[in-house]
Amino acid sequence: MNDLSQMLADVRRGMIPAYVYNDEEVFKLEKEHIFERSWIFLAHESEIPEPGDYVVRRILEDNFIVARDEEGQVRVMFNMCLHRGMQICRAELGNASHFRCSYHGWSYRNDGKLVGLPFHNEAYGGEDGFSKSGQSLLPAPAVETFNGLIFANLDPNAQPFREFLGDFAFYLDFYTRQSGDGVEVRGPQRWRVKSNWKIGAENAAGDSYHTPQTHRSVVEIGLFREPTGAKRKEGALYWCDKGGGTTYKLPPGTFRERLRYVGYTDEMIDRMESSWSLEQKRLISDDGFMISAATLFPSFSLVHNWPKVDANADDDEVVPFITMRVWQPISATETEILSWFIVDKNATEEFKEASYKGYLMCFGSTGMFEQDDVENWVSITSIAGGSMARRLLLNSRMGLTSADKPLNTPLADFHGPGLAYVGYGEFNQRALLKEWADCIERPLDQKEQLAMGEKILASGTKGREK
Amino acid sequence: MKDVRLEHANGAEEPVIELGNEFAEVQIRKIHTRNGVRLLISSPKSGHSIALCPLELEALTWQNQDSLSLLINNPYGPIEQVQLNE
Ligand code: FES
Ligand SMILES: [Fe+2]
Repeated sequence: MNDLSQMLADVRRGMIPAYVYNDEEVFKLEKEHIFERSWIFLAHESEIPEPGDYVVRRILEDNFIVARDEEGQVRVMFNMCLHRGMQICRAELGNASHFRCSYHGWSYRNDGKLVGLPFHNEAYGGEDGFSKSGQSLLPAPAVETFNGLIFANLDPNAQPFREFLGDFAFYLDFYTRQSGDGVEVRGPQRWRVKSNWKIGAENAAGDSYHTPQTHRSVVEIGLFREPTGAKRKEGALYWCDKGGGTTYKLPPGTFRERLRYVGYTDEMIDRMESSWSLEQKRLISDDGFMISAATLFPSFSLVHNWPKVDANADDDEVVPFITMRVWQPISATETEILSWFIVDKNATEEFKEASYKGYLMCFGSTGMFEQDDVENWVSITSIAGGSMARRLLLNSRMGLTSADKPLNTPLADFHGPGLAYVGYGEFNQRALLKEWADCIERPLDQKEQLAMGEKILASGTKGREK
Repeated sequence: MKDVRLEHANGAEEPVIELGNEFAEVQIRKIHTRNGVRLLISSPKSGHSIALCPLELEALTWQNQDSLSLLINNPYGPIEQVQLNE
């Protein structure tokens, strides 16, 4: 890494030191300053619908069991045995009332409570030697859900999720609350790419500029009619609190006509009508924008597209799909992508199938958009590791004049919260990296340690071996 | 802990249900004695098995999570008296 304060200053003026996409020291800072104290998406509640259902997810190297306990409450527990530290759940998903450690056989209830130590009396002298009552797997320091989305934060003093999310919630509803009953998900697919995690997060946040070039072949084969250069530049880009995204401009019409245009059926539109606020509906009916890709800082992205799923259908017969993903960093140069398909729980089976097919054609490990994108990102990451890249500041100032004024004025009558611009611009990538810079600059707090099974003596000091 | 009823009981023609997760695997089968029925639960890995009569099975339905936790507590044998007193 070159000088830290210089790096942050460069990022803040939209000149990105190319090495930030491939640098060990930068990655170490990101781990401690960002991933260990940001809200990270783990799972959707519909992945663990019944008591005992669980999935195993990670934040960096920290592995968590995300389970629904016998009482129906969602628990996020550190997947490490309190004894010698064995990973307890090793399957990625399952259903169990109790988890049993495979090393020495300690068992835990699915709410994390430690219930069994083999030979508790012989080995420990019972409760005196190891007080198991009240012991539990370590809970994630902070967990909150929104529209069924389960987020966790490794920082016990984290800002509450709802406060952090701010008015970006307005946009999240388009993806995850199309009806009062919410959504269900399929997946995730999980795979690794040799790309720095930020590149994808920035791309989804606001890169409408790459679509006509990178995804040209998708338009050429007739899979998706929208991403032509002419169409994308009419969309609005918005940034609001900790997230932002891209939209497409829709042809003239009412709320209903415009949702039909992207392929929603009338019964689905009825439900959207009753579950979205007036302002949310006006974004479509009055402003004529349809949300597309988005990113919530740091690593959670969403996509809404409406490809032509049936090759023999008419050109205007499209089917919309929604997908969300986590960019999970493995190293400075590798990212594990977890990608879910999302659909209105109340949609017909027929719609769900067609929409899922659209998702698989476009995104996920088999998707055409995915292949096109990742080619670029792998290449950027690789070339950012050399010595020349240390001398290069990438220009991420699209949409700004030299005096830092926006080329176009922000939309005055946009019905969504935050700031929106029509046309190409790198407003959102800059906003995302500005969050990144602020987070890196904020000093770290001390971490507390927890001792397992050790008795606290009356004096308040901890017991010691004599 | 092989259940003696296993050798005498009749149940070869009954379907076997297998249940498993990452922590355990069991096979379950209805077996017939001369005058009645039991449910045979066996664990191929540990070699343990138990044949439960309808009343024992019904007793399971009135357990709660704590009493089931007690059963799971010690993977090497039955509930110990000390545990019951804890
Ligand atoms: S490490 Fe889990 S029981 Fe010993
Ligand atoms: Fe793309």
